[in-house]
Amino acid sequence: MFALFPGCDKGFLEKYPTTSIAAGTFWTTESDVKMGLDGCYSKLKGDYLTWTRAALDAAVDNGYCKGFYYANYNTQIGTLDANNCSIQSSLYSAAYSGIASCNVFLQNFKKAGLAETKANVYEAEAKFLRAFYYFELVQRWGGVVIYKEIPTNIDGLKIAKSSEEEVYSFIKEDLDFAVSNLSNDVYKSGHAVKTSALALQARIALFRGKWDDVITLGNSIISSNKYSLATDLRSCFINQEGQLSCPEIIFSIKYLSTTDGRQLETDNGSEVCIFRESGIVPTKDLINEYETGDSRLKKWYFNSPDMNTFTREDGFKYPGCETLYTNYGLIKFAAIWDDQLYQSAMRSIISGHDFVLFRLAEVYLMYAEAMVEKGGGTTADANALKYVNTIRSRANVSPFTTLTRENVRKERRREMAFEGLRYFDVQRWKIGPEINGKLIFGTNTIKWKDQFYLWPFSQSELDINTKLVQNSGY
Amino acid sequence: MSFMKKNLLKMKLTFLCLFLSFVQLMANDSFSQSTRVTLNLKEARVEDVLMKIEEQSNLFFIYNRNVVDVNRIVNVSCTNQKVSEILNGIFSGTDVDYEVQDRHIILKSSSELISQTKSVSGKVTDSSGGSLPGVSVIVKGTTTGTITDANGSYSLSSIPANATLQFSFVGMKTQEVAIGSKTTINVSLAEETVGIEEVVAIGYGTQKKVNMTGSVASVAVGELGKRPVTNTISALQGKVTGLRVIQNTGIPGREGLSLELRGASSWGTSTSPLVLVDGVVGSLDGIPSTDIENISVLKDAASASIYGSRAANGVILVTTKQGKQGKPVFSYGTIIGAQTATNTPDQVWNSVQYMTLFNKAIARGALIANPYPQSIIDLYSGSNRDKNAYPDYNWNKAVWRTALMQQHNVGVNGGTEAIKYNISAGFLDQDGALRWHGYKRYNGLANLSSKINKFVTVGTNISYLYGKSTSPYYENTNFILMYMTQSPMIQPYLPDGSGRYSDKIVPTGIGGAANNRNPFWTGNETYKRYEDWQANIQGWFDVDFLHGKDMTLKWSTKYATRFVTQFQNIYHYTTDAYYFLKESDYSKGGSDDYIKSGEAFGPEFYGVRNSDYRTTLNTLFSTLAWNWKLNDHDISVMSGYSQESQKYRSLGGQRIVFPVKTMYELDGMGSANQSTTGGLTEWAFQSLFGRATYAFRSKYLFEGNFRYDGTSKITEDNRWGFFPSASVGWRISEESFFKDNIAWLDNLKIRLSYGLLGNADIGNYPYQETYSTTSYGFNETVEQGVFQSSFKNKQLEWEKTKITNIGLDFNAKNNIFYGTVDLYNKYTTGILASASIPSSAGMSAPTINYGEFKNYGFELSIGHSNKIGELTYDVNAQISVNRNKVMKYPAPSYGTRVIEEGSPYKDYYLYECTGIFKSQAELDAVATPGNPKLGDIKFKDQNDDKKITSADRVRVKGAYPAFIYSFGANCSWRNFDLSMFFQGVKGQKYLLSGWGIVPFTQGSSPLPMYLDAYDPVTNPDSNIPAIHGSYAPMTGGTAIGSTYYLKDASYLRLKNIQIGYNLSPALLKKAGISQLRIFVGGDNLVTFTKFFDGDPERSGDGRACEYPQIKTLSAGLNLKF
Repeated sequence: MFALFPGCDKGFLEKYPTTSIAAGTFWTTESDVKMGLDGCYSKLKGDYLTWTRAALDAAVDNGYCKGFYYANYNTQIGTLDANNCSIQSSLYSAAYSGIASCNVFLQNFKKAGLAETKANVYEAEAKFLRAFYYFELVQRWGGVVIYKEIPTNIDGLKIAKSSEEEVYSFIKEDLDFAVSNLSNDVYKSGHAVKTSALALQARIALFRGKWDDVITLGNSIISSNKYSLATDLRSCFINQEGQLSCPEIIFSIKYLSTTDGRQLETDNGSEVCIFRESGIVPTKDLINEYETGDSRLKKWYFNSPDMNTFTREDGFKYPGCETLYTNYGLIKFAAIWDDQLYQSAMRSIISGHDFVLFRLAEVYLMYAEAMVEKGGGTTADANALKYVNTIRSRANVSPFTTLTRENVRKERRREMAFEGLRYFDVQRWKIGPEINGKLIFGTNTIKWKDQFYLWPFSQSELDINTKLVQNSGY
Repeated sequence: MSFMKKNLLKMKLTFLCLFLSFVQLMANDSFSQSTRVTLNLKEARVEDVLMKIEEQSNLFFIYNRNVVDVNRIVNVSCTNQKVSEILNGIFSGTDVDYEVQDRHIILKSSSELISQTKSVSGKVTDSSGGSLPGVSVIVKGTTTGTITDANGSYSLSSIPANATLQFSFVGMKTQEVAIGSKTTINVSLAEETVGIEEVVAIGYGTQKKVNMTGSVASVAVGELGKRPVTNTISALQGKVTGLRVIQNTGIPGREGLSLELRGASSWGTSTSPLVLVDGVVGSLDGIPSTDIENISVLKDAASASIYGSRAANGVILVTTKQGKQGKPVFSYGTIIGAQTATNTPDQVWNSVQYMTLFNKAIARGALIANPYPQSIIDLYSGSNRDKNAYPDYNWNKAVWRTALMQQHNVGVNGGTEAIKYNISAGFLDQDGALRWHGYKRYNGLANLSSKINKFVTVGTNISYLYGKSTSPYYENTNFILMYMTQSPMIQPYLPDGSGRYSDKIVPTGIGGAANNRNPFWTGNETYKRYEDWQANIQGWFDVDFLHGKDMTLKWSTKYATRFVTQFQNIYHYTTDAYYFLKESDYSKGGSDDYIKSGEAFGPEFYGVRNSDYRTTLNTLFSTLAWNWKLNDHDISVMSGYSQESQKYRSLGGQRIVFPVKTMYELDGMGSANQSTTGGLTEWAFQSLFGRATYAFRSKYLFEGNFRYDGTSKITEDNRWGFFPSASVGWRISEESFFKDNIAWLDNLKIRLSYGLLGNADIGNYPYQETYSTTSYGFNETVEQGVFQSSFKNKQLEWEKTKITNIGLDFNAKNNIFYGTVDLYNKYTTGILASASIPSSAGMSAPTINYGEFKNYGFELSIGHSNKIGELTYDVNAQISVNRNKVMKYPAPSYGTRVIEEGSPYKDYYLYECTGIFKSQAELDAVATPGNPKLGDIKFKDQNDDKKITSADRVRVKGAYPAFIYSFGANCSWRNFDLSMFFQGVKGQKYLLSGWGIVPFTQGSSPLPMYLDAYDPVTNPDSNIPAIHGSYAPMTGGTAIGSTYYLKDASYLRLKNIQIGYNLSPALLKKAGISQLRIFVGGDNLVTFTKFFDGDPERSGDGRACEYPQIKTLSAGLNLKF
């Protein structure tokens, strides 16, 4: 009879989620710590932090975006403001989402009681990532809100922003710890290594005009002899073309071709840039930047007089591209030799390209730029010249005889196109007025405004966090 | 808190002990024909003695006070004595005699018995022709009478000529018939639908309508059964004031109908009423209307608070058909119908017109495409052209069809005093009015009850349903927009008869780039099937251990599974899709081949996906009720305990990249590219509840209800909630000052109620802090990762709603005029809202109890029924008005709809369109963004600052109906009956966008009105905006938020009409049939509306591709024998 009243069981009303992990019982083993760290890495795939950052080149003079990344056009035509900065806000929350994960990790991982040396490596990786996320923010907005820990209540989230200097000094703390504790291996597995952290430090130094630091950091990466330039122009970017054994990559966002790669249809993977409305197309202005015979032109781009047809080097034609408004298409990140990609039915297959965040070619270019700047617009440093010419010879163009500010900057634009750096080069070189008036497509031209050197905080963020102050010009 | 829990446990144990002891008490006794009672009454009136006997037995007395002197004082003292002996005692020495008929004892004056002279016999049936056993048939003004037998037959002998017979039965209107010269009198009793004797199902019990103090609407089966609808929810439309039925899709078998009672009480969580089928949480989808006896809708807090934390949106109680005592009645019913779509948006299906409009839109700069060259237009011109190669193809006609629907139901119902049964089975086969869609359903119901002895009745309710809904993978709305985007220039297949699919895109340079999947490819090469199995098994145990005290225990397991199969065939652009034109058609010297299509929309995946969903719901509840009747006082008390637990499990797998059209199972093709998903969610409730009612002379009525609910969804600290309600009623018509003066008013009652309800539909695990899982690929292998995705708020509670209700019921002159009026105010607090946190938090916001919302309104239902000669009729009308106001909201939001404290929730907030620009002066007068041209939409500059900015948006009415209404009539004349029912919505507007109203959305052909669109040269007088594409005429999206797109969707619809004919019983008797009714009718046959972009009965704003309501022409029959 009592069996009819299972309500007498104490646990009748105790039901717990069955497909997620209860926070209270976590952080007890090394495997938990590992999972927590993996969570911090997975945030690298956030909007506009990952391969979608290629679209940021279309906010300035390298490209034009249609479809999903269309909002970049706001910047190109001079209308970016606090109410239409959707792309900027996506990146903002993606970076803070990474920071929150790192904070949760850093606050909790010690509960597992790992040995110090082991624990330090985990901590160093999380701090490297947190520094990376904060740098993504500070280089775009200047001073931002800093959370060193997860606030305990909602009000703790609504605080004033710190100054740019304060953000950089917090980043420095994290990176110093990372450099001294990260593994000294060659980058390969996906885990950040010491050279990854050095590369990030170098990029920060470059951004801040600390040329000596750039040179020192560049030297220590190059002299480690862990990396070399890939011999071809595609293996660095395309899984199917040898990305996994590419010797040039210093840090990247890892994708797997079997499980968590970009699905071409649902994730608008970069292959789709050729085929789909979400595509990014290069401007004529960028194409013109390349010298005749530059093999990067045909390895990374194609010309389409009818705006719809892709013609491959071997003569294969694919007529189904969405309109290519500039008459050019982008294939730098596309597995064009994989024939099945041209069938719509194959859209659900998974591409496994990693997105490269740091590679040796950029370190070379940073080094050369620092030397040039240090030299007041030119340099006699033989290494600098050698590094840039290695890049040029890979592209089958004749070597420079001297390095000038202009030719180093141009080489950087050509080599690093669509790797998400152009906007910030415009920003730090303050060349807005120079790109102003350049043709985007048709008769549309760039209308640059100087407030774009920093991005606006979105109006909704300002509404919710009333202590946040808008950047000037918005 | 622990004190409460302890007490709860104590109460449970006490209850258990009581229960066990009662079982023991009853076990020894058994029912016997010669009922025995124990009485000890001194100086009691005869009537009181009879009442005492009634109380202690199952017997009922019938007598006429004018003949039997029941005020005589007697003394009775007996122990366990037979009733017959007691009666002999009290009536010895009088002329009163008695006659026992089944459980009725008829007292007669023997002096009367002598002067009888005539015999009469006949049969009593209900309005549907079913025989009615147990009807009292009394000679008016005497005590002479009888009771109809199991066949509804009666016979009376030796009664005075010119007497009048009175037929009465609970729940039926009493009828009088003068005998005259007739020897056979057959009577059909009408149901007393709003009669004061009506008994209505309420939470855990029933109640006489006359004694009710809450707001409860009851819908009888006859009302629901009439419409040929395949879904019970549709049948409820317009039948209950305050209840709004919203159709989200019309896909057969998955209609997606939702209900809203008295407005939505929340924006944070579910707004659907709680539905209980035979006392167990369920849904109206799973139960065919033919299996339903009755539906009660509990609208206010007084009636719903017995369901506590889940009753905030109202409660719907469904009672399935139960066995009735009598000879077995076999029934068969069928409806066969032809179904078509009611309203679908019309489009231009003439190719030349299509191309001309398209070219015009390009010329205006509204579309980025290349125009169709004259050479192509020429191909499609002229009546002598090859119309197979250059068609004016009407895609609307190609995908909508007249579809057959058939329903069959068989059943047997009957029983004895001891065992009653209702067993039925049904079959439905419905083709979709939209091609490639269809539904089949088999259902069964077996309700049995068995009276073990005088006290104990046990029973089971078993229902079973299997439904299979089939459609293409891209179904319903997606399928509709797919055909809407086609152009009239192409047919589904190439004209060469090869069977190859055509594709809309015309090659580069000719424009029309926006394409979509070919609906015929989708229909033929993709597939989706939902199979539902639902079984609900209930066992119950009812103990009537002392008269007026009652215990019920019910246990139920509901098991529902849904299996979904999805399939998409490969779509080779190289082999499957071709442009409709030959290369030679557009390029001189081109080949005669059809051009292979470039990229077209292919399948999302190709291969098979299977998903399995299982829900198990275990319910157990027990109630204990006492009823006392003490002279003028009626008291009843009920208390109960209930517990429920539900598990929902899902398991899915897919095998992609390997489609074989005949193989839909995962193992069909090896294990490559297989993957799986799965999950489990659970919740549980434990509750105590109770009700007490008190009535004084059925005049002053009081009622209190409560529920004490605990749920797994809330943290242990505030898991338990108390939901009380109280109500009073005053039957003014029972007051003597009223009776003496206004005797024509049979019943006039005022009701007042107030109470608290909850909404526990807040997600299954809203408070637990958890980590979400993710993964990252290190060393080319997947490694699992976790992260915290949201802040959690452990203080979360259910939303609470307070409802005040004032109501009035009246019946005049035996229902010549009757009605109900209710006024209510629903106030919801603690509405779940997302806390507003900056995005720099890096996590999603916690849910908090924050918002407050008010709904208030008015409901009126009136009717008139009468009989004129042989014409019996009933007309009724209902109107419901609801208004709402946001009282507290985190942060105002302004889009095309505005949410602001003090205003209706999500009111429209739009630019006011004042026509179109017709002169340069108008264009210059106000700076309008988007560089408008002549023929574009013009907006009102509300603040007169000479420019259109977001400050010029204004609130516009139409987000909610002004009122919803319905009216109907039922009448019968001789063997004919006619019923019709209209339903309408007034003042509802929808903001349309995309497919339909916006020409060339994804290339779709415009509405025909654009043939008469403004053109500065050829048609300058038109007020229709110039042809445009995408979201122009106002570029920049401004036009989306203007009143130009806000269209009035008010409608009045003839929901149902039916004409029936009952074949003559005399004729049927020879064939052994007791009733045969044939009927013809239809559903949604006529609609009055100004709405032009599809069906006005739609679920909300947006595109015109909603599956419309279905128009059905039907015929059928009902047979009983």
